Amino acid sequence: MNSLRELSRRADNLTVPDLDIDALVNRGEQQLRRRRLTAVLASAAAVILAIGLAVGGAALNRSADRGPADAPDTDPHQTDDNSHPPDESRAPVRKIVYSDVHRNGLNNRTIHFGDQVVETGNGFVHMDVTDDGFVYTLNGGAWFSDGGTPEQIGSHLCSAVHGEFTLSAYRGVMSANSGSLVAWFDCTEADRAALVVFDTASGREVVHRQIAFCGTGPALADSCELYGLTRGRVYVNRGSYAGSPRPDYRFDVRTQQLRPSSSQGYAEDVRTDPRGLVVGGSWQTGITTDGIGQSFRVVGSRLVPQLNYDSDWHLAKAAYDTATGRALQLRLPTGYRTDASGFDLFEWLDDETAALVSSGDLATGEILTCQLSDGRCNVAVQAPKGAEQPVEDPWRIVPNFGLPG
Amino acid sequence: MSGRDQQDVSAFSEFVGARSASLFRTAYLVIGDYQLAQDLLQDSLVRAYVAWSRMRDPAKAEAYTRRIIVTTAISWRRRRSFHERPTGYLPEAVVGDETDRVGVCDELWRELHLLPPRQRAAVVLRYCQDLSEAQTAELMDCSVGTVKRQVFVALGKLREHLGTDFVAPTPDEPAVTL
Repeated sequence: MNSLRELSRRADNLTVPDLDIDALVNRGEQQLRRRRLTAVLASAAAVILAIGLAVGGAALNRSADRGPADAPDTDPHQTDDNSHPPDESRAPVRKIVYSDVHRNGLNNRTIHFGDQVVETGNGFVHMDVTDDGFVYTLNGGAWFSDGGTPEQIGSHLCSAVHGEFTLSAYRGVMSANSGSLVAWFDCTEADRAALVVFDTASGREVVHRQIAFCGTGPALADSCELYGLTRGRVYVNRGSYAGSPRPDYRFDVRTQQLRPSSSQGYAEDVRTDPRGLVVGGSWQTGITTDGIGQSFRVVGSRLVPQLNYDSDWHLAKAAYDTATGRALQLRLPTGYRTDASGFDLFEWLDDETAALVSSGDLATGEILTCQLSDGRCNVAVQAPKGAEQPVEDPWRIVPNFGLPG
Repeated sequence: MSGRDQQDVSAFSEFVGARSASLFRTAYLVIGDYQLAQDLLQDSLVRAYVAWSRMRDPAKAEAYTRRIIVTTAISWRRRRSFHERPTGYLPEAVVGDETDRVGVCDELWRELHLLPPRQRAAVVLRYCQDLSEAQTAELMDCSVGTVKRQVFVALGKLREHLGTDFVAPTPDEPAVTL
C-alpha cells in the first residue's frame, strides 16, 4: 500500500545526522563577519563617491545616465585575472527553448526552438541553450540540435551514474549565458572522469581532460559536478554540493589550466559579463548571480526580485543588471492578468533581453520576454493548452532548470 | 568584532539539540534525498543563527527555520547553483546512506519525487507532517487557497498514477508526531 502516513512513519525512523553545533556557530559567525565587512566597505565606497562627486562634477555628468549611484564604473571589477576576450562581433540573439509534456507522454517529446519544433524521440532529462542551438541529455548522452535533426555530441555522462532523474541531474550539462560552449563530465574511463567542453559552433570538443580527483563511481563524495560556466571558464565542485565553499576550481578553456577558485572569483567573473544580475540592497552588497533561476514576485503590475537564500529572504530591494549597473524595473504587460505568484528567469536571449517563465502556484508556464533597459515585458509564449485543467496539466520544461520544473 | 553573545549561542545550541531531529525530518520529506536533507538542514540552521538576534521571540525559531527549509527546498529544486552561497567551514557529519531503510524506491516515494516542488511540499507538509492548511501556507509563503489547490492537484496526480495502491489521506487522519 502507498500511504502518506506510512511514508511519514518511515521518515520518523530515519537516523538523524549528528550535527556539529560548534561548526554551525562558526559558519554563522563567518557570515556575520562577512556582512559587517560588506557594510563597512559599502560605507567607505559611499564616502569615496561623495568625495568624488564634490571634486568632479563632470564625472558625475558622464555617469548620470548609467543608473544608481552605487553602480559600477565602466568596468571597475575587470582585472587581468578575470578579463574576457573581447567579442569580435555582436552575439546572436538566442531563441526561446521549451518543451510541453504530459505526464503520460514522457516518451514522446518535442522541443520548441523558436518557431521550430524538434523531435527528440524519447524523454529527455535536461535542456541547455547555446548561441547555435540547444543541447539535451538522454540515456546518458548529450545531443545537440540547431533546429534540425539532433546529433549526439557526448556519451557516458557522469550525471547518469547517479541517476538521470536525480535532483542534481540538471547539473550534468551546463552552458554559458552567451557563446557556444557547453560542458559536462564524461565517465567513459573507469578510473577518473574527464571534463569535456564542446563548441557547438565548430561542432567539436575543445576540452577533454581527465581530472585526477574526479571519480566515476556512484559515491557522490568522490565525484565532481559543474557549478557554472562563463564565457571562457568552467567552474567545478569537488564532490556533490554539500554547502561548503564553492566553486572549488575553475578551468580556463583558453589556457587549458585548472586552478583553485572561490565564490568571490566566480562573482567577479560574472560581474564582468553583461548577462548577470546583482540582487540585494546595492551593487556592492548584493549577491552576484548569472541570473538563471532568479525569481521575480508579482506585486501589482511589477516584477520584484526575490532573495531566497539569505535570512531576509523575502523581496530584495533591487536587482542590478551587470551590463549597465542599473536597477531593473520590470513590469507586466499592460492589461496582463495572471494567477502566477511570480516568474523565474531561465534564459538570456541577448545582453538586453531575458526570458522568464511563470512560477505560479500551478506553474502554467507562460513565457515572458523582458527588456532590461526599460523594464517592458511581453508575452512570448502562451501557457500550454490544458493548463486550465489542473489534474491533467502539462509540464512546461525550460532550459537550465531541473525536471519536472 | 565580536559575534553573538554567549547567551545567544547557548540558546541556539539548545535549540539545535532539541529540534534538529524534527527539522531534519521536514527537510528530508520536502527535498526527498538524505544527503541533500543534511545540507539543507545545516544551511537553514546557519541562517537561523545569523538571524537569531533579530528574532523577537526565540520560541519561534523552529517555525522560522522550518520555513527556511521549505522555501529553500522549493528553490533548490528549480534553480541552478547560484544561490548556494559559500561558507568558510563545513561541519562534517558522516552518516550512512539511509536510502534503503526508508524505501525510497517505493512507488509513492518516486511519484512524490516527480511532483513539482510546491506540490510535493504542500502534500508532505499537510499529510506527512500533519500541518494545517494555514500552517502549510505560512511555511510555503503563500495563501491558504494556494495550498488547497496544490494539494488537490498533487493528490489527483498521485491517485492517477498509483491507482488503487494509493491510500489517499482523509481530513480526519490523525496527526503524526513531529
